[in-house]
Amino acid sequence: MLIFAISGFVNGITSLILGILVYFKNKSGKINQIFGLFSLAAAIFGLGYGFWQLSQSEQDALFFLKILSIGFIFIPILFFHWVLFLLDYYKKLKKILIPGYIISLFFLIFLPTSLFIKNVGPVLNFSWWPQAGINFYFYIIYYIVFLGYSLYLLLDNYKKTAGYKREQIKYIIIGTIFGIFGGLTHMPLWFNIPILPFGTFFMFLYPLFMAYSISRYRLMDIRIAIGRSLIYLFSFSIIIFFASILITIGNRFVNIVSFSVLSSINLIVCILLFQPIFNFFEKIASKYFYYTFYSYQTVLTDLGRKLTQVLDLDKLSSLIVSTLTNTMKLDRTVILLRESGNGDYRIQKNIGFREENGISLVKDNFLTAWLEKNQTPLVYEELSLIIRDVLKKEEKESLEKIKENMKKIEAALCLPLFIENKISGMIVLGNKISGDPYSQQDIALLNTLANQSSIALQNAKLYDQVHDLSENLQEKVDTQTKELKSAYEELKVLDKAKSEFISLASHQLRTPLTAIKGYISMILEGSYGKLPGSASKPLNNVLGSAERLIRIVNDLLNISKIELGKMEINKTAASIEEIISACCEEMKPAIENKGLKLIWHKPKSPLPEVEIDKLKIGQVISNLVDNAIKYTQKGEIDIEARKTDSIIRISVKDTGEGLTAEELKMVFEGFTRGAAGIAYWIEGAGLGLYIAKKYVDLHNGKIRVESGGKGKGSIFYIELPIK
Amino acid sequence: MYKILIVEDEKLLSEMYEDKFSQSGFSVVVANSAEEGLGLLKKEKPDLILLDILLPQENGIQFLKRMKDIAEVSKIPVVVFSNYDDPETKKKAFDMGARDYLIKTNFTPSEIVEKIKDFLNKINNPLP
Repeated sequence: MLIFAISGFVNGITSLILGILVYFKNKSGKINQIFGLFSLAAAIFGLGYGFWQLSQSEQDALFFLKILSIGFIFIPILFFHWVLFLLDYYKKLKKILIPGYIISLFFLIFLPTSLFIKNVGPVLNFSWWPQAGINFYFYIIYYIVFLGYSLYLLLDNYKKTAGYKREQIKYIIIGTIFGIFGGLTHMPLWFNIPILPFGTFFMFLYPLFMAYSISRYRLMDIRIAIGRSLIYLFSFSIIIFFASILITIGNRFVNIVSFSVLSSINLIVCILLFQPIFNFFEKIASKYFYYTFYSYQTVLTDLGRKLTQVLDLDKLSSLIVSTLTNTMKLDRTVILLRESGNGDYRIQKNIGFREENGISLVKDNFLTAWLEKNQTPLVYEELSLIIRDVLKKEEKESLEKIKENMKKIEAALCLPLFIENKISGMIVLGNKISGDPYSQQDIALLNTLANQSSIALQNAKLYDQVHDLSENLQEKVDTQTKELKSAYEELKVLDKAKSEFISLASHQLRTPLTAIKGYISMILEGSYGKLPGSASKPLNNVLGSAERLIRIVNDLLNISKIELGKMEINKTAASIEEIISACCEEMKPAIENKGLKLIWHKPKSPLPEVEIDKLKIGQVISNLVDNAIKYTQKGEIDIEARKTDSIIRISVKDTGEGLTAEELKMVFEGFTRGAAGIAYWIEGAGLGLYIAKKYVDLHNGKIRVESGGKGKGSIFYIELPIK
Repeated sequence: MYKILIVEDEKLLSEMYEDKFSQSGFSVVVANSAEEGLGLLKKEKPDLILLDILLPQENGIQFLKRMKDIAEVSKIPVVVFSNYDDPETKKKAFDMGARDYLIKTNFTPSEIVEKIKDFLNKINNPLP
């Protein structure tokens, strides 16, 4: 009958379309493949059915019956196989599949015989209805067993699951019932039981419910595919409608314009109109069909933009978590960030998860390593299938653990945040309150968001670190400054202690020296009675020795003062000539004693006055003359002073022993320049030249010596700046 | 005849200077500590004080300070003479009004007596 034929075709075509959509959605997925095959079987059944109803002859009828039988022989086992994948019972029950397929093959092989279909004949209003053969009885059992068991498994699962999965199963069950029912209603007639196969009319509901349910289950997500198909359908319909109107109008004017021209115009107009009409429907579909997706998109794009504006880590994490939770209506969200040092995770922001739960997923390194390897978010729903496809036992076990954990803490999605392919953190999302699963598009959008978030969070973290670092640095600098200050204070104290020590030490040394010098001088002066003449010389020697000791103590004290920077310079305006003259007077006795000549070449025009410490410069000049006398056995000592540019140069020349090149280098070094210096000092030059140099340095002047060599005499120069 | 007070704790030296100053025509009073010195000051009212710095218990600087508080004797000239050659102490002494800071070892007793004589003459017979 025609109506049954139409119903058959409708069933067949809907199954076919559904099967194609699902298969091409993911050609490599086993569940898609099986479903494809199953739909193919259903399609063969439906189309065969349609043609069978239209058959005009017995042969045709038989032929198409056999065709449709191929379809429905495989329907139970394929359906069962698919259910196993769907409910993840594959491993458990796959043993049943083998006998199942064997049975189907058995039926198939015997199909051409009359064991399945005895013959065809009119029944009720049907011209060619088959009569059941023996195999058909077995077929019924097989049909009921496999489909019944599938239904049982589905119902059982329905009771056990919650949320969105429950919904899917619900619709699958409804669709399946229609399908099974439709199939069952055919069978009575095979046995001449007069019941019309009215179930057929409802069979197309099966693919429809399937589609509805499947489209809500991300795995075979064909919602967008359906959407686009509908858009095309509507667009084409409108165009065709439009075209027909044009043709009708055109027919009116066919006299005026030729038909071919009319057709061409029609064609062009249709082609031109297609795109705008298509866009129009697409926009509507975006708005209403993908409504949730569309609104997510706007919110999450907004969020993306806001991410670039916020630098504070806390505010940023709050923003991300609250936006996600509110927009996608989630029951819980947590952001975990990894410490840069040891790679430990910590909870940055949490809504809804229990603290210990939020972090439990990353207790070990497995999840991190897995995410880094796969560079993709982990969806709870997918875990079963991922686990099934994994080969390594340890990996399987670890994944199972994660699955259990995610179920326990009610996490639905782990969204990794990558910085340069390394995990810098994770956003763990709970389920949508509505019970809907995450669609492909949701995940794609979340992925984009994750990328943006990871960069923003990284920036905020770095900003925090820099901020901390600079505070830290400031602290460190402050501490160091304090330390330096206290070290400085300590040094100052130490300094003071040193100079006090030196002063005290020299005081202790000086006291007895004062007594020696004092008493001896008084004895020599006759304060204690007349002195025997012979006593005079020895006593003078004693006095001389005492003076020498006193000088050494003075030198030591002066050097320590110079080294500690405590030497004072009392500058007054002074006349160099006066100082030199005074010195010459002082040295007269020593000169005469040694039979030398001292010539002071006083400058004709007076030298300008210089700001100097008279005492010290006097000491320097005395020291030079003293040395000259000491190291000259015969001859003369010439003293000169002259002004050159802005300095006054004083020279003390002698005809004495002179200095070797080695000695020239060391002569001002005193004992601070190691062994050579010490040797020089010990040999008698004393600290005088060392101190002399220091005094001259304190005046910003220069002191130096020239000598022709051993036995060739020497000239000492002192240069003092006038200003 | 001038009277001088010598404040010096080293007996060895105080005797030496006492001898020299006496022989040079001075009337000499000797104190061996700052406390003793201050006591003698009021009684003796010398024309000049020769003050050592390193003294037991209180030192010369403290002597100078306390001297200032005693009106009758605060104007007596003080010449510090010590072997303690410390710039800070020197500065303090001058701040406290000492007229000079001599290093004992650098001078024979005769030289010191000469210096003091000159000094006292200048004070009492200032040139017009």
